[in-house]
Amino acid sequence: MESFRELMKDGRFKFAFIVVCALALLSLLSFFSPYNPLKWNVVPRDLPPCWPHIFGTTSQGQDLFWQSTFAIRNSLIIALIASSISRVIAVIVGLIAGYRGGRVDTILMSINDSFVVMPLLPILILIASVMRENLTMVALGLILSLFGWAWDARVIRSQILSLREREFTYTAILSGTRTFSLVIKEYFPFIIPIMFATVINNMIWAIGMEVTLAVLGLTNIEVPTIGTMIHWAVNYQSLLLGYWWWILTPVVISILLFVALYLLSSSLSEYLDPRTRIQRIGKVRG
Amino acid sequence: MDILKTEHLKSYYILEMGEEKKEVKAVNDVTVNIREDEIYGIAGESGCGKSTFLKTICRLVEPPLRMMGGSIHYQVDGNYVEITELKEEEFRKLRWKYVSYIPQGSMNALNPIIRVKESFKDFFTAHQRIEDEERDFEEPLKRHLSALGLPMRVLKSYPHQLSGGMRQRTTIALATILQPRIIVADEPTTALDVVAQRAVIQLLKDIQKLQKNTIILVTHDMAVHANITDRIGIMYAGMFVEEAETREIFENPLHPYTRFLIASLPKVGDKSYKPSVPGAPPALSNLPSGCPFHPRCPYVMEICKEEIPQLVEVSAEHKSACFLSSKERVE
Amino acid sequence: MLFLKRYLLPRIVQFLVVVFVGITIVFIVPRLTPVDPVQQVINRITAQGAFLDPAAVDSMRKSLTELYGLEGSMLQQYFAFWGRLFRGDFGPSLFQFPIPVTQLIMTSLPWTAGLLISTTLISWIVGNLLGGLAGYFKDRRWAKILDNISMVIRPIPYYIFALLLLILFAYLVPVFPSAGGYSVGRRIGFNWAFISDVLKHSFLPALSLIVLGMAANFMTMKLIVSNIVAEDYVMYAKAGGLKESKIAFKYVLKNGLLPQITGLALSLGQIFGGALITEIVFSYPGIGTLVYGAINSGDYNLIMGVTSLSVIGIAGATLIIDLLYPLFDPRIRYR
Repeated sequence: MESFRELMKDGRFKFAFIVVCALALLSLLSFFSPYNPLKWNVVPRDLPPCWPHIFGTTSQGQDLFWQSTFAIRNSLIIALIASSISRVIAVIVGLIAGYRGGRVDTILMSINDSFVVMPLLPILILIASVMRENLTMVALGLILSLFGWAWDARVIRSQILSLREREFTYTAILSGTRTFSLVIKEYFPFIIPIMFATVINNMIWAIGMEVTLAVLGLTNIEVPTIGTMIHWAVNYQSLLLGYWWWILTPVVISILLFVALYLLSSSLSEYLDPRTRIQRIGKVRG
Repeated sequence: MDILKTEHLKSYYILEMGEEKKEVKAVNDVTVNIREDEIYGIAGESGCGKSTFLKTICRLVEPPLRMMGGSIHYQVDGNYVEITELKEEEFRKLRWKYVSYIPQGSMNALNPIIRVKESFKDFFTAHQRIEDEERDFEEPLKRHLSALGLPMRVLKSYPHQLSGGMRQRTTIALATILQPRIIVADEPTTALDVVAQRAVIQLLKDIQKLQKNTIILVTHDMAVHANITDRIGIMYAGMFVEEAETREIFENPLHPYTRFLIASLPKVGDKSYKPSVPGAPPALSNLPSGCPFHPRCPYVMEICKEEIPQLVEVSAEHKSACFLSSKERVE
Repeated sequence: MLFLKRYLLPRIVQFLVVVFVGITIVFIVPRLTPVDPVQQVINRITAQGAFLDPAAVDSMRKSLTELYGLEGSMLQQYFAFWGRLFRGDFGPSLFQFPIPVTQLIMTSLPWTAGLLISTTLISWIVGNLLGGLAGYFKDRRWAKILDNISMVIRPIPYYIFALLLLILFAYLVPVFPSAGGYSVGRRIGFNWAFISDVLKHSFLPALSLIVLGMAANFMTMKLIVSNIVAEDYVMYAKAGGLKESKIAFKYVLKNGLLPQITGLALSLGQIFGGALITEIVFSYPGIGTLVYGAINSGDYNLIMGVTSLSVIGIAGATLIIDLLYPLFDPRIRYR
């Protein structure tokens, strides 16, 4: 695809794409793991990186490399659940508010803005501390999606508002198209790119929240995710005891993941933004 | 003496999309001489390169626009200075004091978060020192505004508090505060209602009479040209195709394009059918060979398709870039 | 006063909506578990190993039930909840029974407030300044370097960055203390010894918050400025021959700061969360550490109290910033 080649010229996109692919590969490797991630003491404990434990082992007797594969996979799954459901909510809210306007719009946006302003961390801590062990991956994804839609709903709403004033809307209405099919057929091609552009940012937020909550011990810490790995490493005083590989592995993986996802999303949105496109062309060499 | 002259001026927009490279030839080999103490109008349809020409002669060229060739000379204190060779800081000193600019649609020309008076002060102090605020700045400013018929309350206002017409006139006042030798006006009357238009035109006339400077006025509105300009240059597809005194252009247009232009103007009492130019103006990135007007010209000859006609003097003070006129002259 | 009506009123109403929605969520969440919350709490406390004799458990159960307002219908409980909110009564801390939650919060609040306000101001001012200049002089080398650095730092979550700083500067290269607000045993007072001790302890947490805040502000300001530079009035100022520095500051930066004020108001919730997390990493004696202790000890009351107060506090701060905005933007001030 031409756009892909175009994108690959951007150093940021290239780096981000490679890293994300590498991490995705790692997560797929989890299906071939020789060890059950939920079991303890399957390998000798507290070994620094060596063969065959290339990332080392933990104080609970787990191989760090294979743990990481599960951790990446699970964190990504949670993020995907959270961001896909919140896209749906954002689109529904944005569409209704943007298209109906008037009182419906004001009320919806008022509630929307509450979610934008509210400090989410204390609230999520409250929810998580109530649910504790019941906070499975799916449950966590669901809860995160309930709080992550607000910002993007506004973006979609403003797009709908501008579309509504365009000529083809009037043409469609005057020719008798029903509201529902109008919205689906005419508007969606404009909405889809926005949805994709915001998905990555939402995923970053979701994983960040998951890590934060897990580290505080609020999620189901048996399930290996990036957050829970850090939790156990901190809990077992890995740093004080000198087992640096235990804490460093999830930290480095998470930094790579976040930076790569961010670079991916910012290079993509800059590529799609018509204004920066004009600035790109015209930079003549020589 | 000429106040500004360009020679074979070329200014293109360079667009690169992947491997493709497009050159939009907005100003394509322009040679004009603009005199002191005159109002010089530039006419032509949208997209013919008028605004780009103005930006180029004011050194407001930013990527993707690039000056590709030619020269621009200002006459400063009796000497011709090649302004493209000046360093940015040297040229900055010439700005506003020597050449000022009235942009197209001055709706957004003033800094929205400072009062008008302060905007004036910024432009003023960039080139002139103020020792005594009252004497060196406020008095001259008030005199200038009242000479132009603007109320004093304008100074205390923020730009968004002024009406469109008032804002445009304020911008004109700003452009003339340092009594520049050249004022470049890009469509100053577009986007205004007729009443405001009249006020602006009158204002420009008064200023020119008062300060005896040169106004280069770009507009597609031929009525404005008729009202105020001394000479007109007709632009088409990045080139000047005709240049003469205003009266001459209206009464005796030589270039086929100009003829269509003049013929399409409505006259009071005349109900006849007005012809318009057939076809559409060419894309500036994909100009036809030879004369850019030849695909639409009813008098097209073989030579028009091969060679580009130069802007030559056909009769006294009347230049045309057309093989028709030069051919007639030869005959 | 049309201005009041048009600008002030909707914002005050919005503030009330935020508080309403937030507090309602705080009310509903604990009531979603099918398990008896009182029993759950008591179980958790005893599971932590705290020794309570039967009489104490009984009195705790009674006061908890009353506290949780678990008598009466849902609606009655709801109104009772609001009633207690207005009185500032969040009940006693369950872990440090019977100290009232409000008192515990008040002891930790100054630490958090000090950290939060100072770091937010510094990162906003410096971050926006650098971002604005980098956006204006975007071809200079320093601008590009700063841009690349910010790009890498910005997406890192508060926890990870704080942890990184802790590892680097408190363990690997032990320059700074790794925990607490001041050294154990030092006497509190307005003397240099104490203040410098506090500064030394708050350096790393503050650094963490400042760097992350600056990276975010840098990137958004750079984006804003790159759009402003294309505006007519900037080009006009250039045509007018104004000095570069004047254009950069008075025409570009000043206009760019306006949307950043609004941006600040919108990100307060996120900044607050980040501050809490950072405190936890460094065991800084603010609300963050308080909440962490509450999580581990199952101190519901404390968590609910902190959540309620933070909703009101953040919403209030947002309102204040919103109300101050017209002072900076004459387009809003004069209609």
